[in-house]
Amino acid sequence: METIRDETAPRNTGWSAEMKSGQILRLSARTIIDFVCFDRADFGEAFDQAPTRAASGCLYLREGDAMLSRGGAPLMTMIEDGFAGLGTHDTQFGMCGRARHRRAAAEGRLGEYLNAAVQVPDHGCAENLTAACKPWGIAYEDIPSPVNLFQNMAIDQRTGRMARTQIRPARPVPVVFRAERDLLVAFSACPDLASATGGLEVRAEIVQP
Amino acid sequence: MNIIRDDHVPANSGWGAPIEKGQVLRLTAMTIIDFVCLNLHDLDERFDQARTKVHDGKIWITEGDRLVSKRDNVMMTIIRDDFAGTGFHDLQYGTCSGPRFARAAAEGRLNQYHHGDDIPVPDHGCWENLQDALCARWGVPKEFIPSPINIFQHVEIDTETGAISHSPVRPATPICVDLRAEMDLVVAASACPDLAAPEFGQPIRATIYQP
Ligand SMILES: [Zn+2]
Ligand SMILES: [Zn+2]
Repeated sequence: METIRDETAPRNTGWSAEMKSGQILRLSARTIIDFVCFDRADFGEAFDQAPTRAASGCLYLREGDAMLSRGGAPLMTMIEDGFAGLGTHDTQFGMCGRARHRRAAAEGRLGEYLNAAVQVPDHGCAENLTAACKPWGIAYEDIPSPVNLFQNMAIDQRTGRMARTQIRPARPVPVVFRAERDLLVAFSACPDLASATGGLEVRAEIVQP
Repeated sequence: MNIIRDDHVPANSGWGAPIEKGQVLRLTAMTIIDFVCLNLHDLDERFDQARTKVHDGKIWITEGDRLVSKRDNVMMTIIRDDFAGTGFHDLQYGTCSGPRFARAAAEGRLNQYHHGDDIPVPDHGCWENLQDALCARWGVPKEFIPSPINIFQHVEIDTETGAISHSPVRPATPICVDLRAEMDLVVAASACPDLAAPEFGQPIRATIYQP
């Protein structure tokens, strides 16, 4: 087992890296991570929430579930979930960001974020992932809506209404993925306006087993 | 009400058209329609399931709710929903496709569609139909066709466990959903082969009118 990279992304920044098929990505955090991946040989084959749910038959991404591309190819598999039993990883929401925060403010909906004490940042996951993917020539529009790790949502069975919750790991726990092909992986350490902390750093390790 | 166009879309085929801001698209069917829209003047701006759910704040949308782009702009508003009370339109699944049906058959999972294991497997589906509607005419690369809103696709969802599964709940006769364009758009629809529907996928009707 050889550690290829071991880095920490500060709160409200983005991170990206190439991975080889078979390598392991371990993301450790206690606040939301907006996470995406792309086939390294064809960035058009990007992660897509919808085929991922169609394959897993689940609203949430769980240990053993594959992350699928738009074309239905398995890109990664979640092989360990340190959040299991505490909360679920979201595949409904998109990225937070300047445009979303501005619209939420204009519509008087900032209260949907649960931590009123946190100041609304001037950027978020949309800007962080855009910056992280820019060296690869991938534009914002072509970055898929992510899997939101550690974003535990409450969904009402009758109405389908979605509400944010403050359920997060008490200390950093890992979520571990295996690359099923050569990939570009990218994430944002979300400013996580719903959490008690307003977002924290994320540790990213790539390991060759 | 001034009819701009009124098209019959055969079962398991695609349809696309431009629509101007303020015009209304009426989709009439009794089986699933996979539907997407793109900004006519900048095809990079596309419908996004996730941004739509963030904006509307729920996993099911109906009359009064909006279809939202990746850039957080409102693209369309649902102004009439005759499926309300019968079922919900789906924002979980993607497009069906020839390869996906083949995989389900190979893995012995065709019974998920509620007709048993012995059903005809289409060689194409909504993924290919939306490509037919969008790629050659509008120059949209196939990977950039967004995962759709699946109109009349009622899906069983357990929000506690997260389990989602196909259901045969559909309109009993063709009914309509009206969507008002909030910007100039290219709209595209696939008449889904809909293996879970009682009589499988049926033709759909696409009407654009100026209210
Ligand atoms: Zn975020
Ligand atoms: Zn279909």
